[in-house]
Amino acid sequence: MTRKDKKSDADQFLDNLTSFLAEDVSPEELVEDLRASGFDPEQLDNEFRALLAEHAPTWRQKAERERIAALEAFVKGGATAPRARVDIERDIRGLIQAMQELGVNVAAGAYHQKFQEATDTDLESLVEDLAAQYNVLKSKKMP
Amino acid sequence: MSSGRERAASILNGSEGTEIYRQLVRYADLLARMHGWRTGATLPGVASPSSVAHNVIVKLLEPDGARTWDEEKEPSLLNALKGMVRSEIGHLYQKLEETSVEPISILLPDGEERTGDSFASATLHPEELDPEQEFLRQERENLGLAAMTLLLREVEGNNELESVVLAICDADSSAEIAAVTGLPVKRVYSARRELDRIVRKIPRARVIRAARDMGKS
Repeated sequence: MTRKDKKSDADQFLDNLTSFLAEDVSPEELVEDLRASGFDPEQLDNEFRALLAEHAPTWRQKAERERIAALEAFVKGGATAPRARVDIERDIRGLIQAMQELGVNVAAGAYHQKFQEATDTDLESLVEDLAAQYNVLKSKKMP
Repeated sequence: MSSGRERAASILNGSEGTEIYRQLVRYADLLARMHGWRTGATLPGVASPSSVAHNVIVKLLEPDGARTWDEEKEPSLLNALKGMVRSEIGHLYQKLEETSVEPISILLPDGEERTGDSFASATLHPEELDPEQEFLRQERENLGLAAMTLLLREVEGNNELESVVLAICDADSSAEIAAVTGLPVKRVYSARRELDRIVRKIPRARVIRAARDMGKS
């Protein structure tokens, strides 16, 4: 053995001391040791949980993360939550009624339709069209 | 995620996870303390025992992480993680040592390059340490001796502890120390607790001072 590899007695002693002291201790002793070294065991637990949530999320955490990401993307995109279909239908009926009150004969198709075959997007689009027509009519009737 | 990573993630997310992390931080703290005694330096950079434990777990859990766990070779995840922490702290101190040594190889004013091989000792004994390495070895040895002396001084007068400390020269586990000293293993456990407290009471600065004093005398 050369001097490069040779361990001094002190080195060997410190190696052995480290192994001896590093043996696993009971949970109570562990808390005591950590506190004696200036660690807060509860804070360590929180750090560990955050680490796992980021690097080894459970399926629950993954699902929650995806839900939040989708919500954030939705909000950032300036979108609004889709309205209930019943509300859209109510708006259509309201607009038709308002237009009739202005003396306009609204197409029977729009009036009698029960909207069952139309998609939500179609109905939203119909509301926009009717609202535009109503505004034009209203501005003509009330100069 | 490889099966080793999946398995590690599952264990760490399980009921033992917190305990494993706490044991790992305690281990990193102990190693940092011992390296501090031996080198006279704190953990390099912004590293701390908990950041080392944290990084090791991240390296194991990330798909492109630098660490892997082979459960067949080391069935205990905690032991595997301890090995990784040991290696990580070892690297940190090695880097520190490398940066604190001025390289022997330099370009001399006359244009000739001086290398470690230019020293007569290196030519005669290529397997031996060069002067810089020898200086570092001597410094480390002084620090190690100082730490050992301080520890022995702290347990002086307590026969049981003294015998445990002396047994540590040749043994490194409670079972071995019990066999060497003839003490019941439970008493060795108690001695270990006591020794652990004493080790914390000996700061790095005290070891450095004692090593300097030893160097002067």
